[in-house]
Amino acid sequence: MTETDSEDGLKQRFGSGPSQDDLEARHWRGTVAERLFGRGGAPVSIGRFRVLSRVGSGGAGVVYSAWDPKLERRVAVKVLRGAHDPREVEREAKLLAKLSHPNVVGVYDVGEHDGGAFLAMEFVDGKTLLEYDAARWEDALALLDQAAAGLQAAHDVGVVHGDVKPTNMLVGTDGRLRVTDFGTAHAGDAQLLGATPAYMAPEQARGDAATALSDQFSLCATAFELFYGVRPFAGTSADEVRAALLEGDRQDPPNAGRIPRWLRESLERGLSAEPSQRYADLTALLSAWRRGARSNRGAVTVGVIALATIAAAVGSQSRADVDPCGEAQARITSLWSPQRRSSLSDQFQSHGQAFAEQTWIRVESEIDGHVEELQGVLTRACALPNEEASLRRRLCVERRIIEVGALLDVLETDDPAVVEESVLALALLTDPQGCVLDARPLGAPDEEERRAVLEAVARARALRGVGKLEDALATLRRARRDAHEVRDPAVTARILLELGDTLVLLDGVSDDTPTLATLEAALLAADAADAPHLTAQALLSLANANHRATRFDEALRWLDRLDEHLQGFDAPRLQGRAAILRALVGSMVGGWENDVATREALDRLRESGVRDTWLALGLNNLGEVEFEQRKDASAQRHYNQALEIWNDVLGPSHPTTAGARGNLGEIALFRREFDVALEHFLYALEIRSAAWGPDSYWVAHTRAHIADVHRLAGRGDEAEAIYRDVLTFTQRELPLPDSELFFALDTGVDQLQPWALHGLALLELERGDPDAALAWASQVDPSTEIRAERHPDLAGRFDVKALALVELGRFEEAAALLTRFEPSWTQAYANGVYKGVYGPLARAELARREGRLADVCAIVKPATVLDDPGIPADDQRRLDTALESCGTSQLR
Amino acid sequence: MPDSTPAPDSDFELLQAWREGDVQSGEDLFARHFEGLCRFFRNKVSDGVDDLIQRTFLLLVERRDQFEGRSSFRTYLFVVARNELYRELSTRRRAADKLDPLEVSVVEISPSPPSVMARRREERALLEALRRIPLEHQVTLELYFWENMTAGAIGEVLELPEGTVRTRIRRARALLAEQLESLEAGGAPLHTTDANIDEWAKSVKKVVESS
Repeated sequence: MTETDSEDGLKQRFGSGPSQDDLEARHWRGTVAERLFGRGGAPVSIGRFRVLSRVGSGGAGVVYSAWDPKLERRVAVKVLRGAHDPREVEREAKLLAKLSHPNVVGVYDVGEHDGGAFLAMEFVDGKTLLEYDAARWEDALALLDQAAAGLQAAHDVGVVHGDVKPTNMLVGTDGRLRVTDFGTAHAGDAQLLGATPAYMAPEQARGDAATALSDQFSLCATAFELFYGVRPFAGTSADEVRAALLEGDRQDPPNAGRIPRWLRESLERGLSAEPSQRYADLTALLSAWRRGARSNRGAVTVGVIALATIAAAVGSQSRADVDPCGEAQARITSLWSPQRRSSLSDQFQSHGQAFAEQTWIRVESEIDGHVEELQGVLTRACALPNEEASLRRRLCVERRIIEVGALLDVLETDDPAVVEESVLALALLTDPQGCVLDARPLGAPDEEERRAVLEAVARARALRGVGKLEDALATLRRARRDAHEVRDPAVTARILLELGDTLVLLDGVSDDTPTLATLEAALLAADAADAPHLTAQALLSLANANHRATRFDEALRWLDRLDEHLQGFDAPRLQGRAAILRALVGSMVGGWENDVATREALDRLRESGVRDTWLALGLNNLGEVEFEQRKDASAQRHYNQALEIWNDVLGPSHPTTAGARGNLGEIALFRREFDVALEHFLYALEIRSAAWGPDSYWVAHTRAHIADVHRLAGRGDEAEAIYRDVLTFTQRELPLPDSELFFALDTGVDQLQPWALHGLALLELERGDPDAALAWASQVDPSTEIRAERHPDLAGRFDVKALALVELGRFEEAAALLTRFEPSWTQAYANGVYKGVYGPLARAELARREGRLADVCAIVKPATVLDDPGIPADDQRRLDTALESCGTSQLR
Repeated sequence: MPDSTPAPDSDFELLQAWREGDVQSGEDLFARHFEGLCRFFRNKVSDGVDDLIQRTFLLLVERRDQFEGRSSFRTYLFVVARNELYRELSTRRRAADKLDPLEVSVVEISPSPPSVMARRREERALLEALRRIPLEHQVTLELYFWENMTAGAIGEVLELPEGTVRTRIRRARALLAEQLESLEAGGAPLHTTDANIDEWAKSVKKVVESS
């Protein structure tokens, strides 16, 4: 290679460089531009913290959600407004940083930004105490108990809060309360900032500095509002409130009867106008509360009550008197009511096809089983002594109940297609046992909007399950709009994930479709939500989408990432699906047959009783790989295992099981067990005719197989009649219905035409009429011939033409044809594709007739040809003849 | 036919306008060079690409006076980008493992795969091979082929005479071919070299001081 050649080659290879137009690059383009040019107004970064979004702003400053790149964690950064002395802020921050109390928000760092001070703090995912709807006074007290403990710990190190109020108390999704915003309001600030003095101590209102005792006053004012629903000092303006405060004009609590006297008295003492008349410190207040709580509630510890609050909020009515467990049980029962059961049953019965009845039996028992399992999980969840674990499981069951409801709604739509796909849709229901394993942090209570969005996603999933993709898409698009209100990355991730999974089926995967970008966005959202389970789902979906788009290398990359992600997680179902998908991808790229680990994973799954259509598909593909390698015994075993699962899950009359039957038929044909083969193919034919009608692609496909059986079994006339029928089918102008088009494109509908012509030509050759054979073989569509050069399966169909030409003495044309397809046949051999066997036979025949006997030997000797028991009778005869000549030549 | 559209402002003019507060000029400049910078950083660090791009653009503003009239804008752009990259990579490494950019490859500095997802197998192999040759060689080839820079301009970026750059391009091509061949043959040996710590330290110091 000359210097110039290599220069050009390399230049070409480099091209213009990888395009920077993928999701991530676009994201950077936007965020960097925003940071540089200030569109959107968020600062670039604050200290070392990269700003993610603005969370909110109040009197004291603006709070951002940010990322700490050094310690790789999410933080909340508060940029303080007003005249804070950065040194003073820093001093207090240092004290708080050392404090590290569970009820004080963690302070990580402090610094200057734009001349003002900022604080980087623990990011708390939750609500403020103000937004928190504590149903019972016990619940509210449990939270205030934590607030008092946190404040006392701060006082112990000399930090005064100065602005104690409900919005400065965050209740995390874990039920733990953190006091936040310490030391940010100093003497006089409150008035300067025009804040409502509703929680302020009178001495602060007069302009004195905040003290531990003024914090106590403010905490009691907060408590007053929580218990009685009104603020202790009221007024229609800040001035009126301040006046009431300074005059000691406290409101009378409205529903005083419910709150114990001791509690009211403790608050009155804390709200004393004169600081010296309050409790000495918060520890004293706390012990008064705890003593009182014990006398009221016996042995119940206060800390647990906070969790009960969340539990109460989970139910649709967040009232304390509703038993959340009983309510959930009732909802399950009403979902799967006898009325619903009988109306669905009627619908399936009226479907009219044989398999519908069996499908109903299957669907009914699946739902029975699922509901029973849900009830079991719920009952056990309610009996758990650990409140938090119990609540986590109940929330998980709630999500599962939403799923079942959505599926039943979709099944009730009167559409024959729904019946056919119903079992597959059932397979999309999430495993109730997953709730037992669920170790995710406690999710936020599902408030109305969030719940509505989740319901929409569940509905879309059910719609996808029954193949109503357009409807699913419309539902998701609506949900996506609503989700803007929810602002929960976990919800966003769920929507995008479902959207991506739907788009995979609807639009496919290509550079022109948004499918991959959607799933990648789902992945980002799942990461942002810190929801490992959703991240895993997104990775699996990305692998699956790439697999379907035949981007196998990418699929494997995503699977590698998934494996890495799942390390240390106990997620057998996901891990199982990943193993199955890896098997599916592996069977396409080859080399997988040696992957012992994957095969063992499939075996383990099967033995552990997993009944999953994915697993069946994995076993089926394993069988296909083995069959291509002529390992017919293990191929048969795996086909049978797949069939067993499909029979079990879908019922023996479901169209999918027909596929497994067909594969078993091919093995029997390979073994020359013609009767067995015929039985399998006829069975498949019956199912497919019933499901799709006699004039469908898959029926024609099965019939071509049946014709092969007849031809090889020596029943030429029966074979010919069927081949002609198939040929007629391929020549019809009718467009294929969408449901078949997908398969047809996938497998190549144009394979049927060369298949039938190949069979007809072979029959004529056998009858000793090479002219007629050539006439059939020459009918193959010219475009197919061009495609065949790159397609081993199709190329195999042209060997018969070469054979006919040889027999007619047209050696040159035969040689040209052979040269043209030789590379494909060679590849077919390398891949173990059985259909390539006729090519070498044609070449051997040509060599024999031209008297090149040494060449004959070179062609027919390779073990691949000799040992192949699948060579049909007529070709075996040719092979014998060739071998004979070869033997003769060797004798010479 | 007379062309009525005004000639687009030169990059330096845009930069000057941006410095004087015209945000639109800054955005135009950003739009022109985002892709090149993104490509430059992306195959070399596994995270923080956005920060590097941002810092580079901000430094363009700060350093403008030092480059007045000395170079073309693109040369200036990549001088800054390269300095930022080396500074970033040297701070990411612990002091003890500092290595020479003429010896160490990106694969050795940050073994985690780059964020870029090449769609074609061929492109992926090229990117991977580039990551496996010494950093300075990688930079050389990318500027030469992707950014169409002359040996002279690359010399300005790398602070080397033009003749040395020509030799380096030849050497880099040979190293790349070696890696491509080994990648395409299925094997992927990582060449490991002992660190010449003194030399790396010197070169890093020089880079940092000059930036």
